Amino acid sequence: MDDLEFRKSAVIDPGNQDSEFLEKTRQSRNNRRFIKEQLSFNQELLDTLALSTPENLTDRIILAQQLSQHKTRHKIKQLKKRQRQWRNWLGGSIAASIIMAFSINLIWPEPLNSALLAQKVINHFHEDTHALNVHMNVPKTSIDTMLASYGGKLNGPIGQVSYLGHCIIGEHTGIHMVLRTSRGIVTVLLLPAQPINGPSLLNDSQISGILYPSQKGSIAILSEQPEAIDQTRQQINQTLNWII
Amino acid sequence: MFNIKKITIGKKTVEPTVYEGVSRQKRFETLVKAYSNDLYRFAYWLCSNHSIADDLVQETFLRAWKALDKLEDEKKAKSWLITILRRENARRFERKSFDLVDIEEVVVEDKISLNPEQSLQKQQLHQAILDLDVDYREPLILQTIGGFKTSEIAQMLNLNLNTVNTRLFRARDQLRHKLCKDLNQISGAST
Repeated sequence: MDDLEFRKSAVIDPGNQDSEFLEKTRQSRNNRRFIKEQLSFNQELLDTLALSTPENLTDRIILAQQLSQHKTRHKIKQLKKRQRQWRNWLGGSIAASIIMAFSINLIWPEPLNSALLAQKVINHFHEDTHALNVHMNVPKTSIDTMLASYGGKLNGPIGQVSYLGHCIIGEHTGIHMVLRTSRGIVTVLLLPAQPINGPSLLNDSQISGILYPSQKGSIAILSEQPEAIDQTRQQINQTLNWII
Repeated sequence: MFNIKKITIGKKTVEPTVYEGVSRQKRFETLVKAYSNDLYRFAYWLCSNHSIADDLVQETFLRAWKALDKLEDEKKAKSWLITILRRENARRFERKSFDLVDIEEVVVEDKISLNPEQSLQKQQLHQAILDLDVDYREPLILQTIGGFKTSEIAQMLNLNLNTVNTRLFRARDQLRHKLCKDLNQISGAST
């Protein structure tokens, strides 16, 4: 590598780790000084290029993706609805009533027996105890983003949330939150896809709680401190709204 | 809750389970958290406008979500996202629906506190980068922000290696000349 080639390579990529290039750097003080200048300029360039990014950029991207999913699902629903109408018109009233009954069943799933779901909730709680040991300070924007994907909205703060994640109970997904309240640690499971036919108590040797129907699906609240459950239930009922 | 797309494993096509739906969502969120800031910076230096950069990044990730199953190697995620963003940027010229702002009028946002001399120098460099021809600017951004090797840049921009090297050399050379010229003008004005 001659001097001209070396200087050109140094300008193109001062961080070049090629052995021939490194050997040439070591050969003279001038070369080392030249590389130092290039690296310094590169750092200046990097400092300028690394401009600050907008706040909540990641949350906004995830929210846009989840809203787009809703739109897609809505379009599919509309398309299916139109197809159903067409078939109804062709098939006559008997076929129409069968299809309608079927579609109603699809859109509004049969409410589950709450005792069945209660057992699944307790099992999930014991399988996912790691959530209780997570100490994240989850920002409200993250909760809003995740809730929006299920069509939910918070009208106000719900306190300190130390864990937030998707969960799978039975065949449906929901939101798993852990709240650090003044009365103790409380697990809240929002299950918008799982309507139930009535409230049910959640009790075993370690945990107690309640599973109750919500405006959309159901909600389970569990804690080792029974007094924390009612307080959280009131707070959730006051702040949580299902908009879709 | 998630898009149900069929997954092909070898010759078999299967319906994904709800677990795969969740992992797809988590995979997407991981990508967003890892690359959205770098992608935003890349977009800004490409289009010279913060609000267009924001739109470009949002649109890039929406397209990435739809095509996520095509991303087989996570190590290529960054270059894959940048390719989507570059295509999206090209599309905006086809659509011509963006309001373009004269770069001379764009106020440089700078939240880092610098002394007046440093700040002036940084603003001069900022403007000098924006003044570079996009053919020179793009490989420079890919190299510095993206951390890509010259061979990778050549592949991404569909250019040969010598062309990339020449453009990187000229980009840095032009920046240096521009800064020297600005400094001379300032020192000339102060004497």
